Amino acid sequence: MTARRLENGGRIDRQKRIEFIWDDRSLWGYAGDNLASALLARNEKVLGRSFKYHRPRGIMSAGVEESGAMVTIGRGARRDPNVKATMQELYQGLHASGQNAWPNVRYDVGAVNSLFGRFLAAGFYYKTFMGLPPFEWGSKGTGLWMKYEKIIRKAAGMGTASREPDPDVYDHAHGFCDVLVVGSGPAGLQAALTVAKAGMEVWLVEQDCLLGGDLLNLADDKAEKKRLELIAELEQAGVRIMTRTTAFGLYDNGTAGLLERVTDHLASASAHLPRQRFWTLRARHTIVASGAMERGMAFGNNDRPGIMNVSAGRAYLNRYAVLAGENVVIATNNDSAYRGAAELAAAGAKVSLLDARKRLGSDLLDIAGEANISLHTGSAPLNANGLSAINGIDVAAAGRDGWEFESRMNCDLLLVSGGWSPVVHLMSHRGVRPVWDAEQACFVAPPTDEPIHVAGSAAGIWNTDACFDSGQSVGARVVKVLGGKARAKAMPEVGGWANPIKPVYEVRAPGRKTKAIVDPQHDVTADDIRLAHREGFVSVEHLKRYTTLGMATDGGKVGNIIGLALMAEALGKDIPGVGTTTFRPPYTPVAIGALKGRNVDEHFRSLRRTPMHDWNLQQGATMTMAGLWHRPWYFARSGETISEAYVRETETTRSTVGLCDVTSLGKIAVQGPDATELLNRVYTNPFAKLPIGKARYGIMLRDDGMVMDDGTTWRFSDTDYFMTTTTAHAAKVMVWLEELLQTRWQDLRVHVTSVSEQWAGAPSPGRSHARY
Amino acid sequence: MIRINCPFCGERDHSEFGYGGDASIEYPALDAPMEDWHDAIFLRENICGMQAETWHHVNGCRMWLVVERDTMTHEIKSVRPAHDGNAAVIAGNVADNAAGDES
Repeated sequence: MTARRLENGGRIDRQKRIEFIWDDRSLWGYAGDNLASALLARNEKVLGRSFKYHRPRGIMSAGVEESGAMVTIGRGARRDPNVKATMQELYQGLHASGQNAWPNVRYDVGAVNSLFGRFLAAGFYYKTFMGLPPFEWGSKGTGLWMKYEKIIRKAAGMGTASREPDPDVYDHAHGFCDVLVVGSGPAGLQAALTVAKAGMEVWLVEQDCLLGGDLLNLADDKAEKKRLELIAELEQAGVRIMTRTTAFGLYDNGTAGLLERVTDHLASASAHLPRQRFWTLRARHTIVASGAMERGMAFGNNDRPGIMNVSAGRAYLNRYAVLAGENVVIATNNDSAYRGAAELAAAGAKVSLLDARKRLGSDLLDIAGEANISLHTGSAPLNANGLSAINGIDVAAAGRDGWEFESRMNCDLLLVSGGWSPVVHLMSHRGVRPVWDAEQACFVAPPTDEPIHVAGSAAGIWNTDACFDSGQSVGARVVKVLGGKARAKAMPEVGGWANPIKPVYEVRAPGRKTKAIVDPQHDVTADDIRLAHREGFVSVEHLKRYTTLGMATDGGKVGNIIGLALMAEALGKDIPGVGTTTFRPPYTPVAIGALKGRNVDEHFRSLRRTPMHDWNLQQGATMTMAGLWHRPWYFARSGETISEAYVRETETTRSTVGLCDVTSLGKIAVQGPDATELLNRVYTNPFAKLPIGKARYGIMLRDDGMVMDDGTTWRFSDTDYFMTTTTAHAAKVMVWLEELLQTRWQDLRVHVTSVSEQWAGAPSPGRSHARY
Repeated sequence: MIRINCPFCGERDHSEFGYGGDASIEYPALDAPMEDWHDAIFLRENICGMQAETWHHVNGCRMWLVVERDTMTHEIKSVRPAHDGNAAVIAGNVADNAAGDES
């Protein structure tokens, strides 16, 4: 692969050079680049190593599903592993390094694992090391496993996180709106504008740094004009636009979780800014315009550097002005690849197109003809040649009984389109089971009873214009439900390609043994899935867990559909017959720091001090925690141990008098004509005869007779009591009394008030106590 | 995040509330036989669908509420105060003389 930066075009600023470090080497890119495009422009091929076999990996995509260019960003306490280079914006001084490799990703000793690949199939470690013969014959012992496990765990994993405390600050934030629009492609932009124009409060969230979604990757002046117009209108309509913000989960009753990356793209951020904001947003309606992802195909060595999605090749060309290869083969089974193929040819690449379909409409033939693309119908890639970079492919032709080897072809870049998968993740979070659309070869989310609506390619609508229309249609329908006025266009139909897609999930010819990767992040191969099937894992949920398919940091974005298809083939069923896996939040990884927000260190929990706090310290108290309270533990004089202090304190109290801070006890004012009756009921002992001004100890039981709490209760007047509880159960007792009074014993005229903060407490036990 | 429309405070996140339990349980008289108490305390239906349950607005107005919630979808059908007197006030069903007694 010889990738190079083009002289013109792209959304980059050639006046602004940005220096960054990749594996201790100083490189540079332009403003507008992300790490992946900057590395690609420098023709860096191997950017990562795979999980198990340490296979060399390059850039595979241009989005969140990236499974090849996974890198570590930052150093020291700020080291952040498993970052997708495709999602990391470039900034001055960015420090990125390869991971899961030694000494580096380009020359990795761990690649020796590849030689033993045939032994490292699904379940290898469990089969081999648990109950290891002859030491632990059968299924009995796991003693040795406990030892091996440590070594095996060390070898596993991708990047390593910093072990130092996180120096960054994260904020929690809350929001409310009428309509949340997720995604700012054609459908999202149009939907947001339609709703905002009707006077509704709209939040538009976009994980990218720019609005536009796929519009950013097109070489289409008309579409760009429309994008800019829509953005201007959105700003005018007062839409809250949040870029670099991922809606990572949808939850009950219209709640969405958003992660806003505030400073991850900045070289030096203002000190008052948090690194990320974790938003809890409550929306009355949610419009999911999250787009679709292009699938690959499984074939031999389909993970070699220099193999990526067609849409990725197009994005690097049009958005970043990087031509990813000069001798390009494009393999497709659908219409979406043709426009990009023509653009690559126009940019100066030699383009060959393999279409798995035998018959094509004149529209596609015209595009190929005009762009001088050599078109091979009924063809698909069978194997990729080259080790650390692709240098050619074996081409398969569709024969009578499947694929057959046909010829060899040289290339330095292979772009693959195996169809498109709508991003149904957010719907899946809501428990909606996607339905298989056999005609479009993809899962689409059916309508739900909840106020959540899907628009654009997330709903399986492929054409850009139709996506705009679907955004308008969905937006207008939401406006009507919310009581506004709007005219909804007809919702475009699912699909939109002139020539039907031909489902191709795996290209395999009999007698050829190669590694066809289904899930690149966890090195799950097509053979692993068949092996799992042979070993009896027939449920897709079992298959997933046994092979670890879809369990890496991409959450199955890349491999799930192909995995399902292979399982279906093995079972002799169709894809819906096998089922689908459930996508769970988060859509993309969320840092633990963002979940914790400011609730760290001394803010982890609140601190309660008694009014005597300072006095206690002056007397030399060593403090202890009692719940949230800081309370004196013992008062040691100079040179005293804790035991000596205990003995002295006890002796003093017994011979004279002591004083103790018990402010942390719970205190509840129990007031009202029926206060005595309430106490009689909640304590095991009666309170009716307690004289005014006196106190009585009581034991409180739960419904099932277990002790819940104990404490002393004073009587201030006929109708006014002062109850104390233990420190730990103060809140629980209060809740219990409120429950009893508001639910079971509504006839009792009693009011309970927590007065724990209003009263301090200091008993003075001792010898002279009796006269007190 | 379940959102509960507290009759006193308005719609709030469920994190402001504490969960009570089955609101349909009728607790026996204090001197009722042990069998009755056994049933009331230990026997619960595991309802799949709409269930009446008590919630406590513990980080809010501290009122106990009866919430009708679908255990499958978290859809909330109704929310009312657990205390009948409060419920009547909220529903506007308080007789004039009762209001007069108060003043």
